[in-house]
Amino acid sequence: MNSQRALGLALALTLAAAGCGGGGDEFSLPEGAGSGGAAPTGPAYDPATATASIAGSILFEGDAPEMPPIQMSADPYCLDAGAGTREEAVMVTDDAKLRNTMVFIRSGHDTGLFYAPPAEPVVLDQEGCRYIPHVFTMMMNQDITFRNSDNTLHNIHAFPMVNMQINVGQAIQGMETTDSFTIAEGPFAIRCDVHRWMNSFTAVFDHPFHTTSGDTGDYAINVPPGAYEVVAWHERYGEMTGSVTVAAGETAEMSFTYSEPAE
Amino acid sequence: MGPAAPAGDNVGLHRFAVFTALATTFLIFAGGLVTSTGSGLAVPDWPLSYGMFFPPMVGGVFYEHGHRMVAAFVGLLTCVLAVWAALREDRRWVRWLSIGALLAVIFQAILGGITVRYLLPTPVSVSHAMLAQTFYCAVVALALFTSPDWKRGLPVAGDRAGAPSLPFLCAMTTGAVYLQLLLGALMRHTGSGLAIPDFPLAFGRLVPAFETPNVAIHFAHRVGALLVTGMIVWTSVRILSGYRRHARLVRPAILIAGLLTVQLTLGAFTVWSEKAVMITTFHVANGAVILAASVFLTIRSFAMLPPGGARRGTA
Repeated sequence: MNSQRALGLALALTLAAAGCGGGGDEFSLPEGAGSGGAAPTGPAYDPATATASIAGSILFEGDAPEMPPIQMSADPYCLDAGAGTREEAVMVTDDAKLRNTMVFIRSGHDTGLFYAPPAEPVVLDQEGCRYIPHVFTMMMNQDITFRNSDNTLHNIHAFPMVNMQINVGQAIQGMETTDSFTIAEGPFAIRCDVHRWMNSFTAVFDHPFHTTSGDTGDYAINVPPGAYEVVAWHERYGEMTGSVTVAAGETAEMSFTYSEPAE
Repeated sequence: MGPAAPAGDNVGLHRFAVFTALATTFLIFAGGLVTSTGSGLAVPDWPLSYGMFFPPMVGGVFYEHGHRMVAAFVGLLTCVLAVWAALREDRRWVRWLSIGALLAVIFQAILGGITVRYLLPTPVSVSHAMLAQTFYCAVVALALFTSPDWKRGLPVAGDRAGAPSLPFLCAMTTGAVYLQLLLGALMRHTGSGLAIPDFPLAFGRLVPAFETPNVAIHFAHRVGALLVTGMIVWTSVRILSGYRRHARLVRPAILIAGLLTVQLTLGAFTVWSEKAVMITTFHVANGAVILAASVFLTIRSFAMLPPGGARRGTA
């Protein structure tokens, strides 16, 4: 009887036992693509001083890998609304330019100025069970509006390394949620945990000198005259850098060429 | 047809406890599916799901909300079990154990909510995984303690001679399995499952370079598998050689050895398949069953090998 009681007591006590462990996340991305750091607090930047321009193309050399179609059978709505959708990691235009590449200034801009975030929010839409745009850039403290244009539920799960993670659910078509990131940091992913194929990439900057190659594979950034380090970042092929000096009223050409790495 | 259960056996309570244990096995499998499919945050709110009791079961929601539904069912079963025991169970310590199980499942639900609301912090997620195992052991123990076989009094199989004694050896094996499950949970919730991508070697070597914590965690789980294998083999050999006539000890020992073989195979295929969802999830669930079987054997061994070999009376 005593041993039974002891056994019961021991088992009851072990109910309180639980493990512990360290932090970590399975998702990792190249560091340092953004300029990083906190906001400068100096005099305000005047956009009218951006009288020069850096422009170019993101070129792709060689045969572009064929993106596989996305298997959307996990959600009947997506199966219909997203029919024919392919993965978007590598999208090359007919004239051999790489879409969805971030381009931004890493150094050379006046870090003593205060760069106010745009008043207009960035909009990340969910349509056809994919994120639109697939790659975008934004400024810290700029609003980002998540919109669900689909007639199914989504969650928007951002995986920044420095900023707080965001995970919001949108169950209803037309639903919008606005948030922001308060610290500049390099590219990170935004994913939907409901539909695992949905992903988007963004970076948060403390200055306005950033853009993407969008749908055309070309880009242009207006800057004050000066010497700059320019960075291109692609979700699969990573980062390329270049230096350029541009004078007032001029456009400096700076193109980057990516290719599929050898096996 | 076996002998009729003696009066006061309360076979209904026992059967209900067995059913709860089986449901808990499925719950652990469902929980494993959530992690294996990366659906832990597919439902970002808690306790509701997208503000609803029953959202559309699409994509990752199927796994996460499905897990919540099964958990709610097991919680309900545990509640009924505790009430039933409170009303019909004579032994106070069994009643307390059932209350402990109920508190555990409640706390487990809260831990699940916290891990969702705080975006899967590793300590909370690992604690959630380990409390699940602990709760499972408690329910299996309840099923054993409420069985007519237990209440009638198990036959004495010997004394606690030898060093270590069989009950102590079984307890050590159970402890080793529990620690191994802790390492497994740590591996899953730190994303270390493929930190070492080859098997049976590790980066082509017996011992890899510990360049990241993930590699160390993964390798610790492999070393743990070796230790657990050794403990289970030791326990099984001890029982098969010294207690061959006692089916109550032999059967669970053989079962555990068989489950271990399955578990090692599943572990290898988890790496080789790059964490295929079903293989990984069965690896998790089978690990839990090994622990439960080991707890079962440990309790029986303590009961059948009392101190000094004195015959134990019925509870």
